[in-house]
Amino acid sequence: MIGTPLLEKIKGYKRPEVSKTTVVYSENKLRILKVEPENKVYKTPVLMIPAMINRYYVLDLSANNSLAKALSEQGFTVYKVDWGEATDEDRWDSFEDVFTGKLKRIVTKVTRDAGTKPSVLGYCMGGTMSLIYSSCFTDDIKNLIVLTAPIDFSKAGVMSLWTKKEYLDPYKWVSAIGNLPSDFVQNGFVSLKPAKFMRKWETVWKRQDDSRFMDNFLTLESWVNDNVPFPGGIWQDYITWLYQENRLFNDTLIIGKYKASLKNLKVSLLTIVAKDDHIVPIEAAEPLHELAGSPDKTIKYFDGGHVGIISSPKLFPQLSSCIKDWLAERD
Amino acid sequence: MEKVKEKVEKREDLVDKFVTKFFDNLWVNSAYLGMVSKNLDTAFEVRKKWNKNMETVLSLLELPNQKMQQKILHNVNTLLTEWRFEQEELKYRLEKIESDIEELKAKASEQSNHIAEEKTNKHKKN
Repeated sequence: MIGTPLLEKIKGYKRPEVSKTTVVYSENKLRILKVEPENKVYKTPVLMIPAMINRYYVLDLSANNSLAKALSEQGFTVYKVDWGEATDEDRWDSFEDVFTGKLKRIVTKVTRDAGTKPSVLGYCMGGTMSLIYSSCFTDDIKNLIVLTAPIDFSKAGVMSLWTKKEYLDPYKWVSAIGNLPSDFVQNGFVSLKPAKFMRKWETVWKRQDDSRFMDNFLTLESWVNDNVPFPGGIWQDYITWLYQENRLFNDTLIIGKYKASLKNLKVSLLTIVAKDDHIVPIEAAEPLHELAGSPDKTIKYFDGGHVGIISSPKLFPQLSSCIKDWLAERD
Repeated sequence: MEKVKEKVEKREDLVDKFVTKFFDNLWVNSAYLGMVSKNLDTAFEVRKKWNKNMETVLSLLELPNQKMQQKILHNVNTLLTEWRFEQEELKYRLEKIESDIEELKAKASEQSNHIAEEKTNKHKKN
């Protein structure tokens, strides 16, 4: 790659698949992908739940930075949830359906396939969803790892300001445009750190002949720019209930006939907080450790930002070994 | 005495700081946020009117209503998914019940064989 012009490198880049997967369940656009370990050591499988706004492969990003690969190499069976790409008709999905429908079916299918209850690892919004799910269905999962997930949405930095009731009426938006376009979400994240966005391209220009750096950069960049539309019905409730009314933190969240109270949590819980997270600041993520009713709970702080924690070659090994050890102790 | 190294700020750092500060101030400015929100609301109102007009045109041309089509497709997807899932669940449970029954049958026949064997042994002794 050395010597080729930068634009050619960017255009010609195609992210290679990291872990070998098989589809064990699918419904509409959703899929559950299974990564079988070469030597199975642990009986409890790991179910990975990503956010709905990004592609699922964030947890299986590259050969050096893949949580799915790292865990399967240690002998865990890994299941990954791919939410798929929402189209017009998915605008009618509701936030409640995610828990009582989709997630319920996902967890049941994984339990049936593995023959035992899984450990769940939720990243970002996927972490919040895993928490809500395990607060409603307390006996469905064995262990829970929550990776940089917001709990106190009133402290979610600029995001909580932008989503304030006086500035944003999600129901009005959804009734006009249906699903939330992927560009909108993408631009929102970029706007959080505009200086970083500029500086990033300057660094790339300077280090374009460093093939290792370029490979890491392009892998991450291809994921960052590969956003999917957010199903409108889910988004409007997510913003209203969690960002505007902070129901999960205030213990007033009702999902169908269930009360999603963090006090209900019985599972062993590992909360992972990134110290330099500008999307989910420490103050938004760490209250979980206090609020959770789990008798066995651990909180770990890691250097790095929201995405850096799983994509940086320096930070990733610490994170993956922490998760592996924690899961192994609770198999 | 060792000299304490002072971090010299480069021009790039200052530019970054300036850009960050500018946008940080902009994002938290209630007047700016209010203006953006108002503009978006207006844009969405226009979009809603456009959608409504499109629906009217489609109905005049006797073409199907898109919103209704989406809703029907969503309901079909949901029902089909639930039906398939429940069917598979039922199959799984029935198979489990069947295997449990087989196990019980095997145990019962083993026990009855054992009892019969004991009886014949008693007869032989007598």
